[in-house]
Amino acid sequence: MYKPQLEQFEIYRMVPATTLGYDVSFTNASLFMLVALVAVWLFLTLGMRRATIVPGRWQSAVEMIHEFVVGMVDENIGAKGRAYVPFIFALFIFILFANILGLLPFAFAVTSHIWVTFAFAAFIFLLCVGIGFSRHGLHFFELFVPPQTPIVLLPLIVLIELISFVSRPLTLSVRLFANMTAGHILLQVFAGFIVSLGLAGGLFAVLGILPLAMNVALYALELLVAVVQAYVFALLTCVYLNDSINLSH
Amino acid sequence: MPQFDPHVAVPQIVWLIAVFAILYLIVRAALPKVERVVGSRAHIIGADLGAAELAKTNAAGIIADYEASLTAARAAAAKVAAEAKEVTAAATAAQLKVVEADLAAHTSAATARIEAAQAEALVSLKGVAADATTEIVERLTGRRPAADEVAAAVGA
Repeated sequence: MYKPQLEQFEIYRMVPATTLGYDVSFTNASLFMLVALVAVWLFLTLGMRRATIVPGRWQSAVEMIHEFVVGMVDENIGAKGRAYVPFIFALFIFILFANILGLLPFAFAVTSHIWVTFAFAAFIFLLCVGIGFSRHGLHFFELFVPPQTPIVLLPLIVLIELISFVSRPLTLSVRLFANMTAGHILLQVFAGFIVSLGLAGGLFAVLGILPLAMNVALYALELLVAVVQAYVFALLTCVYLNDSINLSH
Repeated sequence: MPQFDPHVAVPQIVWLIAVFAILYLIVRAALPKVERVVGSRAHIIGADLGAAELAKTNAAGIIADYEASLTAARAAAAKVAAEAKEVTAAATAAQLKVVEADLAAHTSAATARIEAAQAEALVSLKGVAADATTEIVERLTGRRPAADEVAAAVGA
């Protein structure tokens, strides 16, 4: 029903279910969300099970991610951002694990679906607006008025700032979704070349080594993209939260 | 694309909310332990560094004390050596004086003895000369000259 390159993104309802008229079926996406959840839980629990002053490798990995997130929050939000460390940590590690798990053969990439990334982005947007109004009241609108703007330019600037603010959930969600989808399609396309060349036989089968080499390189690139996109998502969340908390431009 | 199928939106979002809520609670529960371990490590390292710093300061103090006492001991030793040298020199000078005096006394005594012996020899030489003169004159003249004549002749 879909092209073979897009088949990997298809949602299967493994356990169809409906609650209050809503479709809450357990799908392959739900399964891999749960896999990521269990993986994160195991990573955190087993890593810190025997927490020692001189850490082992696993504990070091947990501490490194924690230090990384705390550093990111401190750098972008400041001391007031400490309360959001668990949220940013959960966001970063969930997207990271979902991205990397999605790269395993036969796995499903949760973050390659726009609904998932948009749900995150919309929640972050609402969170930013809520924090902004609860902390600054109507002064939150000052976010759209950069200081020392000439009066003549004010309507234009405010309009631009407003559009850039409102488009944040869209850009945030599309960035992650598009990166993951494009990478997976690319891997699938080159994998298709390998199979086609292999089936053609003879000299073509030998040439199949080329898309194979390409796929190995692409896989390494996709691992990088998986980490970088998780970082970018968490970083932009920090930046947006900073706008709401510190009302900075 | 399957991603843009509106029918898959609700089940994904519902499960995402449920899973992420649980994940958030897990992370919230797990992070204090991480922070505790990191904090205690930082505390231990800080305390160790402080102790090392203190030990370093103490060592520097001890070295300064040692240097000071070494300098004092050197000065004292130099003083003692100088004093000993002075005392020895004085004693040597005194002894030298005594020996010199002794030597001078010996020398003058010997000189006196020599002079006495010389004088004695001279006197006895006069006697011998007088005797010889008496004998010679007696043999030549057959007359024995008077002693004072002889003495006058020899003395001249």
